[in-house]
Amino acid sequence: MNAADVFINCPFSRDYDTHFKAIVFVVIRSGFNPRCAREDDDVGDIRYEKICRIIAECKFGVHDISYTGLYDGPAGDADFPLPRFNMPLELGLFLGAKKFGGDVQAKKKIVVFDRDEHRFRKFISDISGSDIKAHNNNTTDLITTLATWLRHVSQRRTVPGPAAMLAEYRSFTEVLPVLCASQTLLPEEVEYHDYVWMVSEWMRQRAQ
Amino acid sequence: MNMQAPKSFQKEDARPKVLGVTKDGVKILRPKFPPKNFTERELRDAVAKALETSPAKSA
Repeated sequence: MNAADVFINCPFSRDYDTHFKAIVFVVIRSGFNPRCAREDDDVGDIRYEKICRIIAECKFGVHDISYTGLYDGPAGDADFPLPRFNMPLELGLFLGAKKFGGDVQAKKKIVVFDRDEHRFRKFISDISGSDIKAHNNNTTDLITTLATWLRHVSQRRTVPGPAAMLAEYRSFTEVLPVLCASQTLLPEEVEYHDYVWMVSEWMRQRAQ
Repeated sequence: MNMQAPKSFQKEDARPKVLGVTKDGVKILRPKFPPKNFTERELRDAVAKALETSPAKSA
């Protein structure tokens, strides 16, 4: 298990992209490595196996269950609306690894985000007592709460405070379109690996 | 029932590679996977160029 790896369990839909990019930014700026199911399949993993492997490697887990709800499917499919269950499933896997994975995995730290602080009680009340935070569907709350949490659980005083983190994220989002344009991409088209490199390299050069 | 975790679960990590250190002392780690649409050099150049024109350069 890597003490610098943070598993990000969240929707990968376009309408969540701003939140996802904000989480990745905070994780990198705090001195950690973001990990998620968007990583390369370098060993031909099936998705479930890949997720299990990544979870086993991560000490920290950031889970967003705010998209748990009923969604319409393709027109004419009578089985819909159905819930999206991937996020609660991956949260359960992470909790299971922590509970049954032995002494090392027991050191895992988890934060769970939802739209508000109490909604989870209506559909996944068994996790009561866990660290549940509200991001109120806005990126500012997500960034400041996650920065505070990472600073606290990692006990690293070098992790920037919430206001500083937010200011830096805003600076980065100003240059992101310029970085993307150098490869004729729009910010919403940039791939996960490229985004991680952009954030990391921007931070490295900004410190020089 | 045997609840013993697999051996791979029990290993502690090797030290991650560091890309750079911010002015406040945070180690920015080298990403685990290479970029896809850029080479590392292209990314470095693109960031340098963007920072030249950006008013915010301090961390």
